[in-house]
Amino acid sequence: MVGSQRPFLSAFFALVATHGLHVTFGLIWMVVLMLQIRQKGLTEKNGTRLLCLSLFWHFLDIIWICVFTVVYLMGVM
Amino acid sequence: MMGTKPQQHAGASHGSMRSYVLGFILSVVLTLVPFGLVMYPELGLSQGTVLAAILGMALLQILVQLGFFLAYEHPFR
Repeated sequence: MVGSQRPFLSAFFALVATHGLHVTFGLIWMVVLMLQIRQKGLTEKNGTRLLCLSLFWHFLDIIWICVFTVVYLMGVM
Repeated sequence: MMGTKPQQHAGASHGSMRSYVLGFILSVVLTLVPFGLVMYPELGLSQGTVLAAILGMALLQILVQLGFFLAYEHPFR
């Protein structure tokens, strides 16, 4: 796949946009959770939510490492 | 329900700030170097070398993020 061909462009937009949507969602989750913790303290429920958010967020970041490596870097080599 | 449960330090260790800082610095380096290798072909490295380097550093960064971030928030007991 060369950076100037169609399949690459489809993959680029699909992957980067989807990832961006997930990141946006994660950020909203993060802000809301911060407000919840400030208001109600670090309850057991909030603790569980924090752990779930952490899994979601770190998984996203690991996927991003793969996306920028394959799509961005290898796409222009 | 009135009041909140006392803070639970399940999984959070007090030395983890250093882990996050170190993990962050490593992640930035492991991102900038691959971008640099691809953006500056004048360095004279062969395509195969650059490819191996960026894939290797991507794998390294995944391990850094798992070990310095995720492992702190979800430790094995």
